[in-house]
Amino acid sequence: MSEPRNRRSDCERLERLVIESDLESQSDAERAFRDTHLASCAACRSELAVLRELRFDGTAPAAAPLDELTRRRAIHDIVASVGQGIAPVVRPARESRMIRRWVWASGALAACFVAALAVTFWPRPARLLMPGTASRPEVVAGRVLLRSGNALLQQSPLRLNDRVRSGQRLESRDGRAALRLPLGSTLLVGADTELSVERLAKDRVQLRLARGELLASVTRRRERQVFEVRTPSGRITVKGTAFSLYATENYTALRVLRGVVLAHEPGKKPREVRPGRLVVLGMAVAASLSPRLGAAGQRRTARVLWLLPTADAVRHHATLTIRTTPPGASVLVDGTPVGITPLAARLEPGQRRVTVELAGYDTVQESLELEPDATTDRLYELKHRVVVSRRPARPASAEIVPQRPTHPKTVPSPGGPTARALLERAQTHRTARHWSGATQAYRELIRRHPATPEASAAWVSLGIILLGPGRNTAGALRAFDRYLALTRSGDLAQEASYGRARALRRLGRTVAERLALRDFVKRWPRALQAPQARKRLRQLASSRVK
Amino acid sequence: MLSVSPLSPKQADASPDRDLALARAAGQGDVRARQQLADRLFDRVRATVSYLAGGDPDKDDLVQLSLIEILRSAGSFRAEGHLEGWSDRITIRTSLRALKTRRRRDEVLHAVDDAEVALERLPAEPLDSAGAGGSELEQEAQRRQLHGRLAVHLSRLDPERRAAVLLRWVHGHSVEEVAEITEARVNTVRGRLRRGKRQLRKLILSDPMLCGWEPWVHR
Repeated sequence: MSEPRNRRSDCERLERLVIESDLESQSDAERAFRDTHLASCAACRSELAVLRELRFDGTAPAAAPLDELTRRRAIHDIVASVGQGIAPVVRPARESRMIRRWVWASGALAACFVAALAVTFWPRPARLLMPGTASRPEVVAGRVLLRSGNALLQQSPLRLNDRVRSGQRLESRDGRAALRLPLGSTLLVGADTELSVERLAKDRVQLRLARGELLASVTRRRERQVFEVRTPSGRITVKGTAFSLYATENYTALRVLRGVVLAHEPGKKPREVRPGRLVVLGMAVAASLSPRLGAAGQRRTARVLWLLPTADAVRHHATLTIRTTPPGASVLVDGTPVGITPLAARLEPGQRRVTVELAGYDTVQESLELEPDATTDRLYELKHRVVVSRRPARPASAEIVPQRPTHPKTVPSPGGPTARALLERAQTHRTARHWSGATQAYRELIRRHPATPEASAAWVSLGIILLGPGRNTAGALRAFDRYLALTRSGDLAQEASYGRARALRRLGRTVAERLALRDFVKRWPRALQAPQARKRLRQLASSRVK
Repeated sequence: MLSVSPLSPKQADASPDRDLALARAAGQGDVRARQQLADRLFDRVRATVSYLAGGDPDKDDLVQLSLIEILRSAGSFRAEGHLEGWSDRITIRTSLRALKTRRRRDEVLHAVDDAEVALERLPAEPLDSAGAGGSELEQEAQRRQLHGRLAVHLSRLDPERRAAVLLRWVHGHSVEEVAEITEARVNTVRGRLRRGKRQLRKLILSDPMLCGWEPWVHR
């Protein structure tokens, strides 16, 4: 009888020890007692192991894995939503806060008393306000942060810094536009899009997307704030999130990049859409969706939002305008396609690399130092490309004319094949079933441009080839692992995870295969490969029982 | 005995003066300082919220809300303690307030149901105690499973106990620091920690995945 009682008292002593001091800072005597007790008490061992495992090590293992792009995007949105020029909230000490509360409460009571007296005895004027001003709401407007190509606002050409108000209609033709709206939201309006701003207020944004493409990043702070987009096939309400929409008359495709979005379809219950999901409203089968809906493309597009200033401040942003002859050239800032020329944008100040591309013309590259509160104008006269057969293209050049076309300057573009060219080469080999050529091209792409999205996608393609006709299963496993190490929630994570499970099966690593399949089914329960994965899991379970 | 709050990897090269300068700049509206501050505290806030909110689907909203509050209050940082401790206080208060509002708005049993559902969804295979088996990726997957289960168990604790357990054993604050952060008496905090720890112990011992897990003996 006495032994369990002793153990219980020892458990309680250890509990006190764990509460009062850290494991690392315990004295020798405490440590000796702890180790002796742990040697005989399994429950305390498990409990301490868990408490030790809980210790923060700079990561958040209980939260969903986050790739670097999403992390940066989230931080960007948070900083943007705080805005500029907010006075710091000074939190006084506890006692003085109590006194202050008391003073405030007495003041408020006195004010109420005075107001009640005033309302009762004050002579009423015939009219307090001019007609029409009594219930006029505060006018809230959005602002144009980027304009590229031809876009119209209320049938007039859209200009940088234009104010966008309730009831106005924006029509982007061949270009695109970025707008800052209330609720810390930034919209990127794609080409050939028709968007009406139905209502803009401090706590409410209502938009109507008649057709086209919209990418939105919203940082909603309070429950009652509403951000809503209506399309011909339904309604999307946002909780605090980043998402993209593509609408036609017949259907609306919604992809959520971060946070949660509610999709309302007429006659159906609203459904929550989580990150990484593509949901189609108004059409049963998503067979003929636009190729513009690719997740990788949308993530690339979302990067444009990072280049824009984090708050709608009057100062501390740089303005860049780019014109070309001929117009319609694609402009990339720091490798991100921003729009086509003529282009005007408010950007974060700093060193930026601008690339101007047009089919049949030499590519122009220039490094620009964008100063805050200053405008940088560029006019590029593009030169026709000289094609020399069977030889690599010479470093491209063009005339760069700052402000006025007076002093032409030649800027060479970097040599060697680009990531896109290598990807195309690999795809050509794949189509021709020339596996060694494709493998070589993918490897070269990874070696030359390791930090590009094309290179991370190449790991998965390489894994699939090595798993199939290439027959290098260990290599395939390494390739899938490399991709998943780069991103656990990337666009090809599903393919890579399933490929990994297949590779493990070939290698006969059944325990690891079971874990991989279980993880796959948990993460993508509705994936095409999910039934196959479940079947294999059942097989593995039955073989284990036997 | 006062314990020293452990430093996170990002905090290791920070000094009180630098922290104060950073917080002041962020409080005065310097966008770069805000970005730097948000970047430094992002993972810590995520970790705190993930344990505090358990199986709540709107954890991302709470992270966002807490970081916004931290950035808005940056001007009030007085360098009386670590920047991380100060941010923990704001994160805990903001998240608990939001969770309380949500619970009042929804149903009282909602959180418990969420915990049940979340636990059902998680695999319950006993963990490899030695932690040496499998590739790095498998170990990482196991670690995530373990922390997922722990977050669900923590979500079953009373909010005040949960906050105390979190501050004491996740962020390594001493009992006195926890009392200061949660604005409670030291003995109240001791009581919360004791009861929270006992409740957590029961949950751990009834969990098939965690019950026999003893990497302690292997370290």
